[in-house]
Amino acid sequence: MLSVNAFHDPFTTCLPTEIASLIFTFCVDTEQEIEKRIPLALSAVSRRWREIAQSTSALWTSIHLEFNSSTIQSSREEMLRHWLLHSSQRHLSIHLSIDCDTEHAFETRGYRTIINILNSHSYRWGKLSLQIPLHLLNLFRSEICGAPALYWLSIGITSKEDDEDDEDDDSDDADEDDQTAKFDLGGPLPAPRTVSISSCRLGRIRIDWTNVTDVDMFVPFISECLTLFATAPRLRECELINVRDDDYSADPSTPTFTTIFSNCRQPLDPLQSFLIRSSAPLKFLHIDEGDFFHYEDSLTNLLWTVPSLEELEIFGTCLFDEFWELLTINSEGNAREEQFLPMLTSLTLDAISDIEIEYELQEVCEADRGLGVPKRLDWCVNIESGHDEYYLDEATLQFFERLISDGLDFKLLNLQPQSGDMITYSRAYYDEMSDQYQSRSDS
Amino acid sequence: MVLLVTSDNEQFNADKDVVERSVLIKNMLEDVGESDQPIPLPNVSSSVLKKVLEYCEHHRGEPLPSADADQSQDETRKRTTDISEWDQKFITVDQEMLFEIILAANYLDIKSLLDVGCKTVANMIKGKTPEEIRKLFNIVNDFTPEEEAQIKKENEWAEDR
Repeated sequence: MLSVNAFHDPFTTCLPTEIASLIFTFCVDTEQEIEKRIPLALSAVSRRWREIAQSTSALWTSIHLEFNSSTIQSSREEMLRHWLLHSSQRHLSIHLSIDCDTEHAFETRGYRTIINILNSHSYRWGKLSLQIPLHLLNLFRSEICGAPALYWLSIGITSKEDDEDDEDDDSDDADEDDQTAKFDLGGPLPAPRTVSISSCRLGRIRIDWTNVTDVDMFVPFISECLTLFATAPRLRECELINVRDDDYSADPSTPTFTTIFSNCRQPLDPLQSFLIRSSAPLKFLHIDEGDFFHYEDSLTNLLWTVPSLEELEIFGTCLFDEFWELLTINSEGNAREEQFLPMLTSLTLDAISDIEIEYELQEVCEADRGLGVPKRLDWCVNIESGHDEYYLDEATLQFFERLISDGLDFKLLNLQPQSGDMITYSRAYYDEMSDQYQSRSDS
Repeated sequence: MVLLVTSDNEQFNADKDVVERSVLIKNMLEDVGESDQPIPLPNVSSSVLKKVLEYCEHHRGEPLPSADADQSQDETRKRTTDISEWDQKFITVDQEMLFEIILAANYLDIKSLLDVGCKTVANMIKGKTPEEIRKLFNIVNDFTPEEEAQIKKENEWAEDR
């Protein structure tokens, strides 16, 4: 039969082994799970094909291991050893998936063996994708040689994370393991470029973040996002999905940031640092400084980094001279790159205290040069009703009315009940005063 | 112009910048310098060289892959079986011609043509069962019963989920 194949089969008769190998390599052009069938199919055609397939190490570098309740562990172990053997010393792309429901049953059948086998090849890890219960993170080790080739790391937790309250007080070994679970290889820190984290706290992943340029995080806390910005100096692309509020909140709706909500309980520097390094075309920024208004310079610096900003909401603080100055200078024909927030069309200010409002109004009026680019200004203040001092003085009122007649959609809302738009009620007040004066004069 | 002589003694005249897509011919021309001497191509028949020159003519002027292309570039090249529309039409030939083009591209050292040929064969193989592959290339199953048993076991890895 060999002679028959020697006559017909082009892979036997005419193609040099290296060309046949190249063809086989092109057969696995993706790293999909289905591709694991291809090396096996190529190995099952004929003796010659089996010989070529098994000597083509590139065919065996993508390892997919899935465990569910029906998985036969010995079969998986054998398959893993087969792939590792034939992949020679090439870098590996590993996908390990263990169903949450599976792991306890499987523990006795030796998932530790599988992970230990993988650990012994950690120096070859190129891509590592783990979909596993939390406590299994601890099993990944590479004390001796580390994982120097690891450039892509994906960790998804299939069990409940520790921040998710468990109603059930029963604790077992897995729960204890969960408390300390960490992806910490124990040796030299791996320095991947791409990291994907799903349902796993950032603090559980011990890697060198200095090379990381791309990150996906699913359900992170905003404080984790900002920790990430501060610890990954080369970060360029960051997709944060279903960000949860803690001290910070963020809602980036696209792979590149267009929207950020920030409650400034901590310095703005990490956020600014990230925005400088990213090419994020930020369009909406909400900043709530609350009672922690210590960041005038930081805020100005931060705003300089987001020229694409179209809507700005600043809550809980007064703005400062420099902000108004920079905003009004825009109208003086500076080059676009020298303009402060050149795309800004909407500015919302909220919860300014009654002491600050005077200062703010004074700043705006002194500028007396319009508001530059913004076409909408919603300004919410919180001033006790009945306090006469908080009617706008006439000069200020006239200035604002001029801005409105120039096309600015301007609302200055007093958040106190029954108060409403300060411009409207101040105008009404002065009109009434004028009428009264006129009546008195007439009489 | 460069004169090429095939294994069946046919002569082809082609522009230098066309034939220099072959690293082998380029090196030969550099070695011999300016000369009217024909270049013998004993491993390439006239029907195959005609196809090869058609390919080189179409891709004339495109940048050649650098000799020191790094490994990642090489990996990327191997990780896609996309073939351009023109190349797909060009390579729609019978199986015998396809393998001859691959061999000629390998001999003449035309990496892009070699890739097109190999990717075409790979696309013919992908998604097929061993039995279908055997039929495609007229291959006889020459495994012993013991080897068959081992293969059956390996196939269970793919089925086991």
